[in-house]
Amino acid sequence: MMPSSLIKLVISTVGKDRPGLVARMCEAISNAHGNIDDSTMTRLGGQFSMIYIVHFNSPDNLERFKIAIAQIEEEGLFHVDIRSLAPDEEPDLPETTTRSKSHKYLLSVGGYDRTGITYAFSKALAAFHINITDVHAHRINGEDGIVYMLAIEMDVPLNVDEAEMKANLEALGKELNLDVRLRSMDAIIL
Amino acid sequence: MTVLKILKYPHPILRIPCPDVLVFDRALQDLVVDMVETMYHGTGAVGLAAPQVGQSVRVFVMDTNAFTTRDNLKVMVNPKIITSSRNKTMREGCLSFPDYLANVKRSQRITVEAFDAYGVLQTYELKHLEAVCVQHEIDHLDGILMMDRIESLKTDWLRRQSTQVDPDDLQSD
Repeated sequence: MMPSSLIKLVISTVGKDRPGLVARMCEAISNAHGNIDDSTMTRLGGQFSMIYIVHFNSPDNLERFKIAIAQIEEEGLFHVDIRSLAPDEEPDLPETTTRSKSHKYLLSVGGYDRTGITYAFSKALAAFHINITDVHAHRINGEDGIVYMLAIEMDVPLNVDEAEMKANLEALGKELNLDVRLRSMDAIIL
Repeated sequence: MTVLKILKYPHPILRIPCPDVLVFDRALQDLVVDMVETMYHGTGAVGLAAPQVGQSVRVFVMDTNAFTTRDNLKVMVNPKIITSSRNKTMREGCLSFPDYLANVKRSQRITVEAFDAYGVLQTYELKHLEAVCVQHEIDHLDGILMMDRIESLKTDWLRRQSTQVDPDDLQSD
């Protein structure tokens, strides 16, 4: 639990990819004495997206940060969305226990593009109460059209019947004429 | 000699485990000649498996000097890995998956037995790039693709990305 005086934010940005975006954002955070607790950044169709969990130790520092962000937005570098995190939204730190509450799986799906592929598979996973932890989805040029590549990393609750899950996903792949592979990504703890 | 068309994902033949070659005839030898020609024909690859050119048979060709002297050609028919050493993660690309790279754990030293195109059994002691190439090509013969070998989506599955930017977009800082 963080001390109550700390202000925790989730900051999302997106802007046309170019050198210096990460540095500019981190400069704004650092100059306001903010601390980056977690972040993910990726290039996406010519855009560069960043998501940060950041905390500041005083309202003054937060104000300094917001002024810097306003300047960045005025320059048109990227759009920034800032949202305060309520205490009960604070992310859990990784558990140190080796006893897992779920199985990690990778689902890969590929085939000629059509609408609704990601929706179909995410809906199928939600029906099993499976938590998606990472998604990569891209359109690439294929020989006979645009190919859609979807890869989903997910936490499968221990009570899920894995054979049933696999059968459902493979049936969905067959229905949509997509190549579907599901495999365990569980780490072996030695 | 013919330069063959290389099939790309999601062509279904790439997912079919290939049967062993049973007859070492002229058709097999012609296929091998065409596969070698195709591999050397500016593909940017050091190996090529039969399913990648639409033939579902356990045959691949490789030459780790394909870009330079072209003097390390190996033809493997019905290959079998006899021994393998500990794994090391290597970054691989694939002609059938030109938009992606993958970090894959592969044995760094292997002993592999395979027939040549005339049915003579050969034994190879291979290491490093040659060992990795054999394992990648045998995966093709088993219908296994790079994405089936990665251990983490975040760290092992990489899209080839151009990072070129418009010079007007460069910042002074």
